[in-house]
Amino acid sequence: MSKITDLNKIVENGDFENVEAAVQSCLDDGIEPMDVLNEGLVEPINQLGEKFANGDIFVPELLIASRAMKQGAAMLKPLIVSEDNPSMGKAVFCTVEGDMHDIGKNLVVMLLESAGFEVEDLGMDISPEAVVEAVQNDESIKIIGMSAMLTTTMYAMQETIEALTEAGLRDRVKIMVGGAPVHEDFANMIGADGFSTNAPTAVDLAEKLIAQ
Amino acid sequence: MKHDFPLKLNAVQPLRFLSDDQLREIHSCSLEILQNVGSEVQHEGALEMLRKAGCKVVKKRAYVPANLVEWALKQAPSTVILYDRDGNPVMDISGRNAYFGTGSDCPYLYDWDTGGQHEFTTQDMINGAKICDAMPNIDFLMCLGLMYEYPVTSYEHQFAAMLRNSTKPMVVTAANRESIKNIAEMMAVIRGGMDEAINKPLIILYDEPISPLNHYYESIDKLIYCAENSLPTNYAPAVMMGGTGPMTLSGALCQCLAESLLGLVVHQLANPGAPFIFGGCVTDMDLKCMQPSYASPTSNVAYVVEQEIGRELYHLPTWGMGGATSSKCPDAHALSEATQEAYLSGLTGSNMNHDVGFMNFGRTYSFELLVMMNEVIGQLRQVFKGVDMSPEQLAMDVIKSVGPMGNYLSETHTFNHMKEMWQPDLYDRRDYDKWHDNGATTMEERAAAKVKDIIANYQPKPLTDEQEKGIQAILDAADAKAKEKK
Repeated sequence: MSKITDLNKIVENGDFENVEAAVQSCLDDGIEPMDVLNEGLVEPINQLGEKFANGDIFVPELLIASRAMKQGAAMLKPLIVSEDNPSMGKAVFCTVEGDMHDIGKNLVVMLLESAGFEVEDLGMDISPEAVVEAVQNDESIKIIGMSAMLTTTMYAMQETIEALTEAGLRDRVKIMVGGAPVHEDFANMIGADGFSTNAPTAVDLAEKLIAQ
Repeated sequence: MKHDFPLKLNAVQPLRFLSDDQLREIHSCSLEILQNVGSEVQHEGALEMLRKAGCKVVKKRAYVPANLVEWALKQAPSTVILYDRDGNPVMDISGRNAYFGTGSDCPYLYDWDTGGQHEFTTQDMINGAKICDAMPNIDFLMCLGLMYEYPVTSYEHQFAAMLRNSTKPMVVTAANRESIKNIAEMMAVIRGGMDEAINKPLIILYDEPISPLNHYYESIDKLIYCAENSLPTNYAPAVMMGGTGPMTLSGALCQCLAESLLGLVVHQLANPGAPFIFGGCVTDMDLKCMQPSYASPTSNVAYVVEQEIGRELYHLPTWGMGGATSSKCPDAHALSEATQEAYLSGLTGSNMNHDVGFMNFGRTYSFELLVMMNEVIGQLRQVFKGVDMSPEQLAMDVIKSVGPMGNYLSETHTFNHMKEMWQPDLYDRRDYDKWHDNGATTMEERAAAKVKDIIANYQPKPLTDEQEKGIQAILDAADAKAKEKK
């Protein structure tokens, strides 16, 4: 399994220039694509994720490793049948209508992707209708994440939840909210399923919501 | 210009981190960003002004040539005088006058009795304004915390709470043009007319773009409103190194400058000569916990350099930082970070040093930290006074008269000058037994007691009946309009 160990190192170091060659080398040795994916690519990300949660590494270390992991995974995708797909589930994220602050949302999206979620990022200043449309168009979406930076825009989260309810989609998805002025009482008041104060705990929350 | 009010002048030799050439190099890089990278300006009116002034505009991306920036820098005044609620001039925002004030819009307040935090309430806002009013070294107020009770009109209510409980100048936040207009109208009520409110400004608007290089509609619209009405405003980018700006200090400064200068150009195009406060906040994001660090060593250097550029190169009034921390409680960590920030800001002579009392990356406000920092700022101001070299202070007469082996305790010279020494309020300088017999309290405990005492007993000067009526009418109208919209 030294080829796998080599691949682990390459992913850990975020060495995306050499990741494809290392994946190919594993395949050439006859290692099953699914094992290359899980043991070669995903495992080092899980370990880095744990280190990040403990405050031992910087977030760009995790993100750059994830970038290498994704590049390798893209090579394996055609070789793996869909029922084995290890995706944690699909989420759609946005900064709500009227708000242009997106660094927090972007960070949550990047960390979720590192944790194995498939995330569709709708961007910022996203209307309730656009969120409804995104959910209507994709039945695999299980989580909606909304962010707001201002007290005056955070009520757009409530409007979005109301719009989802009216469209009959509310029960199909879990909704998580966050952003500087958002707090737990507010999240409960507007009928969200969860709230998080920062990006790392948002990943825990998403995992919890998807398991429900 | 001679003033009839005391300046908070930093009299010691200017602290300089960079040479003029280095300052110009950063300026030059920011001009390159403005001209070649461009700025996203999400405001049609502003784009039109920029286009007419010779900028290349592609969709919402504006490319501002250097000569237009240099033009704008020459238009804006180098001084802004702020007046208190009674109309007295109290702050000269120029040169190296260092003023200190709070921050705005924290979601939480630190709760001394439980050691936890609770959502900021309307009553907290009132209490906070009273504490600021009572603190001699807090020169201006920002609204401390959020008022969740008023989803649409919170900024108007925050301003009203400050007006009702303090006579000091204020830096306000506002949602949009309508909300800053309501606030300006409240200021007109205080002054007895809009002309007088413009002539004797009580407030500065706090305004900011979204780094990197994104100038969203509301922020530009508020900027233009202030320019058109000659109301002072800042335009303070918050660049988080590694997140919304480059990871390296000089690079982050270049970007921050480019963002500030775009605001200045739009502002001066809207009304050349309107008052503008220069400067933003560059802070490294802690890439382990993903929070902006506020008072990190790198941020502190960034604030100093920005002040140098604003004052030495641009000759503009400057915006700065004055006492924030990443700590979650008003402890040693908090006071250390807040003090370092205030010390460097004061020493460099940055004008409007805000965020005193900010904890937890601006998410939790602490009255106890505010009160402790009032003490620290008082102490620092004694440092900034520098050294008086007058004959009376050189004291040669009394040295000759006492001579070797004597003492100075009963000298008239000692008596005449003893009150010039700084006296602590919260620090306990007494001997061990006296401190022990008086409860052996810590600084934090004494600060908490002071907070409670002010909340229970301090009586701010009330508004006149007429002012109160006018303010309430504006709030009622704004609330009614908000309800109607819903």
